[in-house]
Parts: sequence; structure tokens; C-alpha cells
Amino acid sequence: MNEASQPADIAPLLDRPEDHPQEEAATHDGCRVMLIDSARYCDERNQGDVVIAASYCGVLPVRLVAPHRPRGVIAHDVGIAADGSGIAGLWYLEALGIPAAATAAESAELGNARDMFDAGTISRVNILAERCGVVPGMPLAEAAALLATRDPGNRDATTKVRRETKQSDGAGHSIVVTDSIVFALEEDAANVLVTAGHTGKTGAVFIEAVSPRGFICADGGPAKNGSGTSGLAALDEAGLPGACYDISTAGMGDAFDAWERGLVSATNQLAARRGVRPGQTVQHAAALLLADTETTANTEPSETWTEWPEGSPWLQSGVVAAVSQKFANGLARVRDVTDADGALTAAQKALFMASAAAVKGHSAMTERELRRAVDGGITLDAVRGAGIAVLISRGEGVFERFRDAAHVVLGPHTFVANQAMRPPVTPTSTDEAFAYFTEYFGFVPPYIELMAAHAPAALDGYVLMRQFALAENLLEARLVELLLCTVNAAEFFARFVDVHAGGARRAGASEAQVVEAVVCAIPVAGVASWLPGADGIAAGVDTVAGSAG
Amino acid sequence: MNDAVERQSVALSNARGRVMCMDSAYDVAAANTDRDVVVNASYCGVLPARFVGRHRPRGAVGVDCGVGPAGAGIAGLWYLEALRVPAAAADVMSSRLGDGEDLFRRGVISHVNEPAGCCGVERGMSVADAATRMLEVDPVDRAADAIDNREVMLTTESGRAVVCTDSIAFGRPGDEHNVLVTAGHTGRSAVPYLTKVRPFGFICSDGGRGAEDSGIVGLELANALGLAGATVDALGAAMGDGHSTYVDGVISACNELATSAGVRIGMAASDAALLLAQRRADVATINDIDEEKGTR
Repeated sequence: MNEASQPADIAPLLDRPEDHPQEEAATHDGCRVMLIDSARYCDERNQGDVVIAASYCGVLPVRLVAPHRPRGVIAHDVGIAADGSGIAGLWYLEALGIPAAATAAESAELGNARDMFDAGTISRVNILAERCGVVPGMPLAEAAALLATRDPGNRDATTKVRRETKQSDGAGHSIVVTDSIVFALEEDAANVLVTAGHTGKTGAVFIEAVSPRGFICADGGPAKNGSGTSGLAALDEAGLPGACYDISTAGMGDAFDAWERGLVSATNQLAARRGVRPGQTVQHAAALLLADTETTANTEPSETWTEWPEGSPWLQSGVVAAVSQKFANGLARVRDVTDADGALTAAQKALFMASAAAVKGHSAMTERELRRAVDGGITLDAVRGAGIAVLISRGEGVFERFRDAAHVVLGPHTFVANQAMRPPVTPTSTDEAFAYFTEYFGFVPPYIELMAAHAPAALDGYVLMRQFALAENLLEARLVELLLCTVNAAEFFARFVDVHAGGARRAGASEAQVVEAVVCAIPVAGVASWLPGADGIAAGVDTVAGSAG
Repeated sequence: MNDAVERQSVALSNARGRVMCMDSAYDVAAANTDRDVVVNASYCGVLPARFVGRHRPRGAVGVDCGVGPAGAGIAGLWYLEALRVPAAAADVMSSRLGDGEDLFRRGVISHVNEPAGCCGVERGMSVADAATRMLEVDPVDRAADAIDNREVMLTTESGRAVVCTDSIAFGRPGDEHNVLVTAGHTGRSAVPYLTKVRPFGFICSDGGRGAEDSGIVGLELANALGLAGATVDALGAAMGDGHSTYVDGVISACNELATSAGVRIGMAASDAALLLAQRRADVATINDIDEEKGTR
């Protein structure tokens, strides 16, 4: 793909030593601190020097510096830049045993090493620089002196363990921060561990082997099938309370960053019972896990309730009961189904009601039900998945309402912006699109044929959105289909309840779950939703019976 | 170590080595050194790269975990590049985290380091294809200067080329006729390179601007030399990757000569490059420049 690289032609510029202006800024114990405006100016004179280069700290500039074996390197972070390309050189240099740090973009001019030395402050470090004592926020000149005089210890390209005890309860339990669960010690069975790997299948195996008092790990981003947090449920079964932090709030692999800046994105049931919730800081959540005190909220079976169901403020406040005790009891019986664990969990149903409320334009109710869903243990990714479900079903305005509510309940990290540009896509052929719908419906509906004939690009988009939203979503497929049953019942569309009840059944939902999902439309859209909802359910049952017969 | 080997499964095998699948980077073992491509369903951060790097396998594939803040999900690619280990990351939404066999079966590559690129691994390729190439092709050891990723993206009717290359320092004789799309910042230290290359047009990075807009100060200095140029926003295009400037870049600033050619802030870099290549050279023709030796 590339033009052949011909060494004779390569980078003919600035090969001569007189093209490499350098300035000596300081010496410490015989080690020079040298200023160069471009990484390109580094040469064999710099072996053993601390080099301050006013280039960005990317891989390309440090490739030019590393062969000359400086003792340490400081370059410019250029505001980190896309995909961390402004500081990627830190990791390249670490592998070669060279301590390195980056300067904060706003503290110093690019291309001006003197300004970096005089005014720059450190923003990022590699682990070797950290072991020389360099920390973010430090003036650059001070960092340069440390790199010139301190020994980082083992420079080999191999494992480096960081571990620190942050808090102890005086009863033999502590919060320990270490970058990976594989760095845990036997004594950590008594401790809460804050680590920075993902919480998928492999993470769970390591966590169970350690069996800590509590754990907080990374969520691994929006990984396919929720596989970055799938270990949480398995660890519930192992009796281990824990949570994940959102890796858009703190870096993976850096548990100390998670401790300082991380926010919880998901918890397991045992952690939820200890008060851990999405949106909390990692420090708060770790303290709750250290305290290990079970709360009783949401754990009592519905039979023992003596108060109104929690979901309806009109029942809770007594406004409805003041008009009619009987009517209030009736609504409460419906809410007993929608607000308590049954065929579906209370939290799942609250998420469905929040989605339906967003569709109907009820912002306050969206927020209220979303808060109940989250308090009941619904994960950040499930909320994101529900947002995508209402987006495909009812469009961007509804998504906006849902997102606004999610940000009030969970904080602004629920739906973050991704700087990535539009990725390439291979268009779906009409045959492929038809095959997709045939697999889903058993035939190609006429409205799909119409789109294929006149707006094939829109059909392509429809297929892409539908494939993700219904099958690959952050919320599991069965729950997406059930959520759309609630939404369409609330909109009085029997036809779409039929479609999604069918989808839910194929994804493994029971009849009781389908019915509960449709009942969830009643608090949102009234009993008027039940008739079309029931029609939709019944139509599908007929189809299934028919095809079986 | 034996435990680690037991947690690996063979996906491919030939005389050169094997492609081994494993659920975690922690499972890479001494048996893989210089022999196997390790497909591991960990993220591609520095921490797992240290596990991989100490055993120096033939190649490595991990998961990008959505890249994350400061590129933490792919930072290990650059660590492994320094050790000359070809490495690539797969899009986190293409396979299940913690499942190495699933990564091999379904993963799609999103980011590659330079040695992996040498093996022929590209963004968009399946993990299976990428691992196969790493197994079959040895990356050539190249000097830093030789890694310029130069490619002619298009040539206009008048014979001017739009050329992507990772740094303005990699400009070549003849580029005075071309538009160079590069990926360093446009601060004062870029000016000596611009002065020597004298490209017909250029697009570089704004380097995140920097204190006192120092990342784009070169635009005005270049304008005074008769060079039309623009910068792209470093938040949207990866620095050090000229192709990213061309494909992902959005114009964040431009000098007067570029503005005269129709370049505007907010424009796609590829559109701006074409406008620069098509601009009339009446302000500063190549001959003028040769005669005046940059005295403008």
C-alpha cells in the first residue's frame, strides 16, 4: 500500500550536527539537562543526558530519541491528543528502560524547550519516572533534577507491581490499591481490593481465587455482550461483594487513577446491599465495602409490605388514597406487580417504565423510575442499552429526554462523547438485509421491500441499528425486547407488542415475563395500554401455536 | 509456567510457531518466546503488555477496551513496539472480553503498532488474519527515520500529489510540488523543516494548541515564506499518524494563503488537501521561490 521506502531518500533533512541546536540548562551530579526544541535534534551527544524535547511525547518523536540512550526524557503532552497519541511515547520509553514524563499542554509552549524548562509542569509519567519520584503537578525543572539523580530500580521490560494501603478499619481490614488482581497477596482475603483490570470471565477467576472482603475493578468499556462486567454476577454466587468503575472516568490498568477519579458503573447484588451504587466515587464505594454493613432496603419480600409501593409518588403522598382508599389499593396492587421482584426483577421493570415514560414525554417519571432501577442494581451499561432501545424505537428526541434523566440520576458520565470519527462501513446488500428480516420475522415485510426499492441506504442504516439495538446491545437481547413490549403497549400499538413479544420469546423470555413487561405500561399509560398489549401478546401465542401445528 | 501453558489453546500451527489463544495476558509463558503469536483477551494497556513483553512472543493481539482516557486501553502497543513485538488491538465490541478463542474467531483489529504494520496487519482486518500474518511474516527492523508511512493519496491533473507522511521532517526532494499531510505540531520548531521542504501546501496537527497557541504559530511564519498551510485538531486525529490527519482530521486553523485557496476551519482535512493541491501558484510559484530563496 505504501510507496516503497528507499533508505537513500529517507529524511534527508537536518542530518548534520549543526542542524541540531542544543542548550544545557543544568547539571546535577555530572548529569546534564539538555534543551532541544525538536526531538529530531537528539543525537549521540545525549547519551546519559536528561533530554527536554519540546516535541509531542508520541511514538514517532521518541523513536528518534531512544537510540541515543538518554538517561531520562521529558516531552510535551499536547493535551494528550486523539487515542493518547500525544503521550504514547511514555510507554515506548518504559519498555526500553528510560524514565520519561510529559509536560502539561497549557503550562508550556510547543517547540520551545526553554519555556518548558522554565514554566512547564508535569502531567503524566511512566512508571520508571514515578520511581524516580516524579509526580504530576511537579515543576519540570524539579522533575529533570530527579531524573538526573535518582535510580528507578529495575529497568527491565517486565512486570512492575504498585501497591498501597489507603485505609484500615482497625479490625484487621484495609482498602488496598494495586493495579491488577494478579498482584493480590494471601492476606488480601481480609481486604477490599481496588484494582484496574476488567471484570469479565478471566477477572472473576482471579478474584475468586483471592476471595477479598470486597473488590472494585474496571468495567472494560462497553465490551460485547457486557463481557467486561460479566464476572460480577458470578462473584455474587461466590459470596463476594464488588463493583466496577467506568473506564471513561479513569484509565484501565491504573488503580491509583481509579482511586482518585473513578466512578462506579455497575455493582453486584451483594455490593448493592452494602449501599454501593453506580455513580458513586470509587473511594466512597470502597469505604462501604470495607464497612461491610448490609442495608435492608429492597430485601424484604413484598408480602410483608405495610406501606404503599415505592414507585408511585401519588400513592406515597396519599393524594390518591384521599380520594378513594379502594382505588388507591387497586393502583397499589398493579404497582405490587411492577415494583417488586417477580418473573422480572423490580429494577428491570423500573428500567422499562422509565423508558416508556420517556417515550410518552413524562420527564419527571422517567427520572423517578430510572432512580429506582439504579438503586435496585441496574448497571450503567444496561441504562445505556435502554437509551439505545428508545432511540431506535422512538427517535432522537425521546433519547434526549432519556439521556437527560440518566444524567440527573447517574451523572454526566452515563452518556459520554466519543471523539472518534465516523468509521468505515461495508454496505449491507439487499439480499443480506432480506435474509436478516427473514430470519427475524420468517418473511420480508412489505414495508422493508418498499425501503429496499427506494431508499437502500436507509434500509442499510435500519439493519445496522436493529442488529445492534436488538441483538448486540449493552442490555441483553431478551430485556431489550421486553422493554419494547412495555414501550409499545404504552403507545397502544398491538402490532409492535406482537413483534417484540415474539422476539422476547425467541430470546428465552417466559410468558410470565412478557405479561409483566406489558403490565408495566399501566402505571405509565393507564389501563388503556392493557387491551392492545394483550392483543399483541395473544397474536404471538397464536402464531407460535399455528407454526407448531 | 506449566499452569499458564495449560490455559492456552492452539488456533494455528506451522513450522515457524503457533497462534495461541488465551483468556488473559497473564497466561503468556516462556514457551511462547520468539515462537508464538499470543491472542489474549486482556486490554492492550501497559500493565498487560509488561506480562507479554517479558516473554517476547512473536506477536500479540489484545482488546482495545474502547481506547479510554489518554489511550490507556491501547498504550501497551507502544510498549511492545519498543521491544519489536508486533502487536494489535481488537475493537472491544467485536468479541467477548476474557475469551481468547472468541477474540480469535470474531475479533476485528482497530489499532496496530509499527512492527505489526510491517507484517501487513491493518485496521479492519480480522484477528484471525492478523495473527496469521504475524506468524508468517517477520517485521523488518527499520531505523526511526525509515518509518515514514509515506503514501500518495491522489495526484491532480496538473501533476501535484497529495502525500501522507507521519512528519514534515520526512519531506523529500520533489515535495515542493506536492501537498504534504503530516502529523506533527505546527509550532516554531516545525518551521525549519517547512523552510527546507517548501511543500506546495501542507496540513499538520495543531498539537492541541499548547500555551500561547504555540502549536499553530508556524502557520503565520510559513505564510510569510509563501507556503499555504493548515492544521487539524489534535483531539480528533492521532498525532504521529499522517493517515489519521488525512482521514480523521478536521481543520482547526489555516493561514492566509490557504484561506485564499478556499480552505476553511471545520473542513475535512482531505477536502482541504485537495484545495491546496489545486490552488493557483501565482502568489509564490515554485520558480519564484527557487529564485528568492525564502526571502519573502
